[in-house]
Amino acid sequence: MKDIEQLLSQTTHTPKLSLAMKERLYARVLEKEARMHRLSWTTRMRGWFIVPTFTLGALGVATFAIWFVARSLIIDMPGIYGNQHQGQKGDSEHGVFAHVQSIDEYILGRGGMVGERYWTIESLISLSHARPRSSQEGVLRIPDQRVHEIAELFRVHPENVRTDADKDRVCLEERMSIGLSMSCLFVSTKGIVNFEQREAEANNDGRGEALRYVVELTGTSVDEWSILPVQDVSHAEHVKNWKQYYIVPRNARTFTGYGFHIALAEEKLVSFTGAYIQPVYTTVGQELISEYEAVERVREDFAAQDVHDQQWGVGYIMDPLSNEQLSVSKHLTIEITQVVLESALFETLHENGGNIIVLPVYLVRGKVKGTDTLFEVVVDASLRGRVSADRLQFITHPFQLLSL
Amino acid sequence: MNAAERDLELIRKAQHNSLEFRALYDLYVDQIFRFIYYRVSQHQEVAEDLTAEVFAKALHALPKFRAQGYPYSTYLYQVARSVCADYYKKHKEVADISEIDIVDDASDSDRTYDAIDGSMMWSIVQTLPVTLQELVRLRYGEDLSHEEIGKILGKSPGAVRTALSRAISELKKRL
Repeated sequence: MKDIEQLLSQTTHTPKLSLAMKERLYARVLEKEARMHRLSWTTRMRGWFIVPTFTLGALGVATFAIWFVARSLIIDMPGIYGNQHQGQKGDSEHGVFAHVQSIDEYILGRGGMVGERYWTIESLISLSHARPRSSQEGVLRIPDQRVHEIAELFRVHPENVRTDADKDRVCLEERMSIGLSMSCLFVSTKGIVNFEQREAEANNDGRGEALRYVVELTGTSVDEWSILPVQDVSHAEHVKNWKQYYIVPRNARTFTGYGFHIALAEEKLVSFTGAYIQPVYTTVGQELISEYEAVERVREDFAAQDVHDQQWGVGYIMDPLSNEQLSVSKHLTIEITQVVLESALFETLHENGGNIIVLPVYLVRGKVKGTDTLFEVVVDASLRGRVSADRLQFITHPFQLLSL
Repeated sequence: MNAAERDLELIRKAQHNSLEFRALYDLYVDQIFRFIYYRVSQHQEVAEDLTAEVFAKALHALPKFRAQGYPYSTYLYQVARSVCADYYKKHKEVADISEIDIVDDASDSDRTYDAIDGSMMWSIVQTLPVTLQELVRLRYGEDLSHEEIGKILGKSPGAVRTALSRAISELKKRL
């Protein structure tokens, strides 16, 4: 018996490579090695070019992203990065309007009404350069700069813009002294001038003087304006016998909301003044409730699940061109299409001035049924418990009917 | 001058002039080809290609090669094992029959121990598991030492001896 190990060791191994085969194989060795050499260089080149390229590309993208975000933030900051809608101080008389428009933008800032931007409460604070007066959210302190802005806006000396000790209130002393008897005057986006006048002094001359002031302020002609008696505001003791008017451009297709009555579900009549919420009483069915209660009910209804199906009746609408009431008894049916919770800047009215307050509001949009008329109304969403006896007025008109 | 010293001299020359690599190639190409030939189931073309691959890699890595006191073949076998492993990874569908235990029906009945010659014994080797096949081929086919085989396979010389003993026992069983 042969040993296995011996058997294995003694055997000649096959296959064997011929010389020609070895030559051929070596040629392949050199060829493969040359390819490896090329590949290694390609890899290195790839490293030298691709890595820096990708690094630079990534840095570029990151830089662009940072720039884009920063730009967006800066644009949203009032007055820093050119806002096309914003006028400049010291512009022409028309520019004063532009400035007012920009304020309105800050106040409401909704697309379709005064601009495309949505301004937050933070933006408002930034605009006013105000600091919170107290822990009460949204209450702004009127700063000196704001006083100067108001003085410039109304072309009075800042000293005549009187403020109280806390500088919370502002009024235009000069306004009183020149006999316009207006405790407030606001210029809104659409050029509506809203002023109040003591009844005792409410005559054509007084209104004419206000109109002339507006004409001078805007560089327009008298023919371009209408004066609308709005409503008796003698509901409050301190403004007893006062009347309120709007000076409205004749070509304005804007109905200002003061005095609008909106009937909620027909039998629920709510005195709803939009621009001017007053402590009058109104009826809901046979029940007498305060306006605050009515507003609260409206608020609750707005907060209901499906507001789209609710039908609202419009009591009457004042035609700004003819000074006549439209459809006093005729109820228009309107459809609510959208309710948005937003914030708005209010100015509380006092005989000698007011406070600026930011409050949450419901922006209600809808359409007058059977027509192409759209409307937009702002409803205070948190009136109760926030402001007691003060009457509220929007700086801008809150209620509009816009024709398509 | 032993094989390791001889190879070291050749490697140094080849590192200075790559044309001198041919001497190393001529010295070991048969061994490496054989090793690969049996690892790839005696597939001639594949064995040639992989052999060329082994030497190409060796030539490419030659400038960085550091001798460790073993013949250059030790390194070439390591490269060959790696190349074969890569080949089987890329060609999973090709079964490595050397990994399959083949039972020779004739071994038990007709064949007697005395009647078996060397070539028949090598064919029986192919029925061993691949690790044992490698051991047997390197030891008895290429006449490598236990140390060299251990270096190639990453085992200690003692482990190589034990494994070889087991391989012989397996061969005896299959006769």
